[in-house]
Amino acid sequence: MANGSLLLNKGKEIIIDRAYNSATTITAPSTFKVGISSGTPALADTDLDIAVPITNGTVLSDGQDTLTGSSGADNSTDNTTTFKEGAGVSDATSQNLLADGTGTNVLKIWAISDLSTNGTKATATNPIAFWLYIKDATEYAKLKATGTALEFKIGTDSSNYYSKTFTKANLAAGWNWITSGTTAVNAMTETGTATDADLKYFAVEVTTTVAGDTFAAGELLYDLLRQWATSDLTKTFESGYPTINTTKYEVEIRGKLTTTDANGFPLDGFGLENTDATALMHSKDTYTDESKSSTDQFTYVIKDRLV
Amino acid sequence: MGEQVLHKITIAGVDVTNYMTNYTVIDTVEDITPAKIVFIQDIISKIDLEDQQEVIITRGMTTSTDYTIFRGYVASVNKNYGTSIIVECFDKLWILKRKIVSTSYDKNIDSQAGVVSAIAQDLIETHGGLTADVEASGSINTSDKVILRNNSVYEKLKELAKFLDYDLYYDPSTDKVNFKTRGFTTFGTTIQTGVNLAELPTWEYDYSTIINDVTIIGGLQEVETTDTSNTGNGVTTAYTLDNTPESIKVFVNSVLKTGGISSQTASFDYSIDKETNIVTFETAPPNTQSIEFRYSYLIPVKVRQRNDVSINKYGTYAYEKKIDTIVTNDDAVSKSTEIMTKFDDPLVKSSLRVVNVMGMQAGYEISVVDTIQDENRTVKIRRITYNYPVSIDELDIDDAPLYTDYFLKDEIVRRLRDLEKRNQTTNTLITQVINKKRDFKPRRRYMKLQKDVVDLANSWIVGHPIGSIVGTNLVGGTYTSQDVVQKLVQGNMTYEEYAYDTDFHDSINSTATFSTVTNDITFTSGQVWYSGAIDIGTTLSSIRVDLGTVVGTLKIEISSNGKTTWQTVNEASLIGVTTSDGTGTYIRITENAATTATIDLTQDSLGQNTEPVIKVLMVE
Repeated sequence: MANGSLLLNKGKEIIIDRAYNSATTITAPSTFKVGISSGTPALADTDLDIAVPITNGTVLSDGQDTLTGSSGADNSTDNTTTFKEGAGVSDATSQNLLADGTGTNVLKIWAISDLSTNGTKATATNPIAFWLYIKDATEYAKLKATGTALEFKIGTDSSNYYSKTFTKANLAAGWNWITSGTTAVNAMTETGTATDADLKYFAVEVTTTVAGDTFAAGELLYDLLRQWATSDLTKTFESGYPTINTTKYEVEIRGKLTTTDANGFPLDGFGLENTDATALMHSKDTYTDESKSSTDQFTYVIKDRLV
Repeated sequence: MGEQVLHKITIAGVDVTNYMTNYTVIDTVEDITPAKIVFIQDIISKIDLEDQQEVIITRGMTTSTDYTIFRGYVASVNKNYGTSIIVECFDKLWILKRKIVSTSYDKNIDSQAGVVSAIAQDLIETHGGLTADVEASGSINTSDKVILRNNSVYEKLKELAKFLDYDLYYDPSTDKVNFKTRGFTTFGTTIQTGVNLAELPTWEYDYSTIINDVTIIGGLQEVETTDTSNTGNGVTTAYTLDNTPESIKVFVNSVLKTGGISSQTASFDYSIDKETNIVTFETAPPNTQSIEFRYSYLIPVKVRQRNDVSINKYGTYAYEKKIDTIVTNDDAVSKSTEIMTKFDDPLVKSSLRVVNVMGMQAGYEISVVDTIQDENRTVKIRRITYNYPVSIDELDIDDAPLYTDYFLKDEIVRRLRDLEKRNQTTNTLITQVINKKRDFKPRRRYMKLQKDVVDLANSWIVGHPIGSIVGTNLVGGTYTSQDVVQKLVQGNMTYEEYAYDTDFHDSINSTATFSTVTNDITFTSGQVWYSGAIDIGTTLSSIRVDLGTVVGTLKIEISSNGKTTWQTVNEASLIGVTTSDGTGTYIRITENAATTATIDLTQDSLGQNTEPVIKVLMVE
C-alpha cells in the first residue's frame, strides 16, 4: 500500500455541481469513515477498502462464550491474555480454539449452537464480523495452502446457514478482521434454508494441512462477534467544522474518534462522505496504520483548497 | 509492484509453457497481431512443430489463464544453432488475409440483401472459416453489389469497414472477428506512477494538431429579399445591393426591366457585377421613379470560434472547415465547440511501461496519472506489446480523437476546397463565438492524524467500558488533553507551499523571513528557512524539490528521519532519499552566496498562481 491523500472523482463532482448548479441536489460532505487494510487510493474509488464500524453496533458474542468443538476440534477455553477490545465490551476475554490433533479430520469446527443463550442472535439484514488471531508463522503454516482454509457460518443450525469462505492468502499471522464486508448476512452464500428470524448458530471452521495439526492455547483465538448498521460506519464532523477561509480559499474539516469509537482496529484509511441517498465519497486518505484503543482519541485534520 | 505474473502457452492443445524462454506479442488496433515465441531445443521432444498449429498464449495474476492475449497460428519455425527454436505466429485475422476469393453479393439476389454487415459476416464465416461478431449496419447503408474477383477477404472487409466507419479486429479472448462501429472500450484500472508504471513516461506534444481558431462554413441557403430603398434621379446609373444576388428582377416605376451582360447581350436595361454587387442601368432611371430590386442570395451558416486560453498558451492555429450538411447556426456552434474541445491542446503521445495490469488491449481507452510530471490524461492504446520473461507491457498511447478528418492535408482535398470556395458567397455575415475555458483545481492540501492518549485514572468518560467505573475513574481529575501528530500525509503526496499561512513554517529555527503578506521567503546572507514536518509516517524512497520564482543562490536540503541527518538535493531532480524512517520529513533552505535571495510564487500575466513557493513531491 502506498500512502496517499486524494480528492476523488466523486468529490470533484460534488464541488462542481454545488458551485454552478443553482438547483443542486447533491449534499456537501459532512461525515467521515475510517478503515483498515487500505490499498493505494485511486481517483475512481467510491469507498474505503474496508470501512469499519465507528460506533458499537450490536455484539452477538463478546468472546466469553464457549465454542463447542467437533470434527477435528476441541471445546474452546478462555484466554484473558490476548483479546480484542471494541464495540463497548469490557470482558477482556477471547476463546482459545483448541485442537489436539487426534482423529483423521483436517477440518476443525468450533460452534455456538444457540447465540440466544450464549450471546445474541444475528440480524439477517446487517453485515457481520469477528476477530481471528493466528499466533505466528508456525501456526499460519498449518492452514490449508489452497482452497478454503477458513469458513464461518451464521444460520439456524449446522445444515441451514449463510457462510463465507477465506483462503490462506486472505489471512495473516496476528489479528484478522473476518468480515462479510458490506454484505448483509442474508446475502451471503446460503446452504439449506436459514430462518432469518432465528439466526442463532455460529461456527468457525478451519481446515489444516494435515489431520494431526494442533492448536494449543494462545495459538488460534476467536473474539468479539458483532454486527453493525450502515449508520455505525460514519460519524459527523466535529462541531464547528468545516471552517472556510475565503481569503486563502481553503477549508478545514475535523473528524474526531473518541475513546469509545472504533476501538481495536489498526486504522489506516480515512474518507469524507456526503449524505446523499447513495453517499458519495469525496476524498480518501491512507497512511501507515495507527492502532486505536480505548485510551486513545484520534483527531483527523483535513485541509482542502482551490489553487 | 513485483507480483508474479503467471503465463501459459499451448500449441495444438499441448502445454509447452515449460519450454518457453521468452515471447513478445504486439497488439495494434485493426491489424494482424504477431507473436514471437522462443523455446528451448527440448520442445521438439514434446511436440512436432508445424505451421498452422493453433497457438494460445494466456496469462494472469490469479491463474495462468485469466486473460488470453494471443490466439493464432504458427507461421514459421526457425531452429537456431541447436540452442533455441523461434516460432513466429499471427492471429486469426491472418487467415482472412490469405483467403483469396471470387464471389459476389447482389442486393436483389443474395440473402444478405445488400446489408454490409451481413456481407461482412458471410465473408468472415463462410469464406474465412472463423466466427464473426458483427454489429448490424441496418438497411440504409446497403450496397447494390459487392464483388470479389480473386480478392483477399481481409482487404475487402477493410473496405467495407471503411465504408461504414467500422472497426475490423480479432479478439483473442472471445475467438471472434469483430466488425463493429468505431469506438473505444474504457478500461477500469488507472495507470499511475508509484502504482503500476515501471518508469516515468516521456510525454511528447504535437503542436501541429492544434486548432484554436476555427471557422465553420455550413451549407448555403437561398433567401429572397426586396430592396425598395432607391429612387431614380435621372443621373445615377449604378446602385449597390446589400448582398450578392443569385437571381434578380429589377423594376423601375413598377415596370420589369431586362437584364443582360455588357458587351454580350444585344439589348438590355441593366447588368450586374457580382463581385461588387452593383446593378448598372444602361440608362439612368428617371427622376422620382421608384426602383425595386427583387433578388435571392445565398447565406452560408458561418461561425467562427476562438479559444483564447489556447491562443495565449500556444499562439494562433487557425483553420477553416466547410461542412455542407450543417445548415443551422446551432449545429455550426456545436461543431466548432467540438473542434475547440478536441484540438485546443497539442496531441499528446507517450510510451508507457506497465507492470501487473491484466486485461488491456489495443484500442482500449485508459486513464494515466503521472503525479511526478503532473499529467492526468485519458488516452487510447494504439499498440500494446506483451512481454515475457520481463512482465512489463509496453504501451504506445495518445489522445487523438476518434475522427481526424479535420486534418485535410492531401493535395486532392485542397483542390476540392478551392472549388468549394468559388461557390462560397462573399457575404460577410458571420457569428462569432468567444470560447473561454478555465481550469480550477480543487486540491486536498493535507491530512493530519492527531492522537491523544487519555489518562483514564484521572478521567470519567460516560459510556466508556473501563473509563466510567466507580472507585476507579475520577471525576474532575487533572488530566489535560495533548494531541500529538502521529501521521501527516500531503495531498497527492506533494507538499505545496503558497505562503498563505504558517502551517509548515518553523518560526523557531528559521532565520529567513517567511511572509504571508507578500507570500514569499526572503533571505539575507547565510539565512536559513526550516519547514515544519511535511510528512510523518511515510518511509520515502525518493523526493523532488521545486522552488517558485527564485532570485539568488540557495542550497536545498531534506531530512526524512526527523532531522537526524540532512541530505543536499538539486532542485527539480527526483533524488533517491538516503535515509527515511517515517519519523518526519523536513526541508531546509539556506542562502548560499553571501548575499540576498528570495523565493516567490510564480504567477502568470493575470496574477494567477502557476507554481507555489516550494513544491515537494514525495515518493514512497
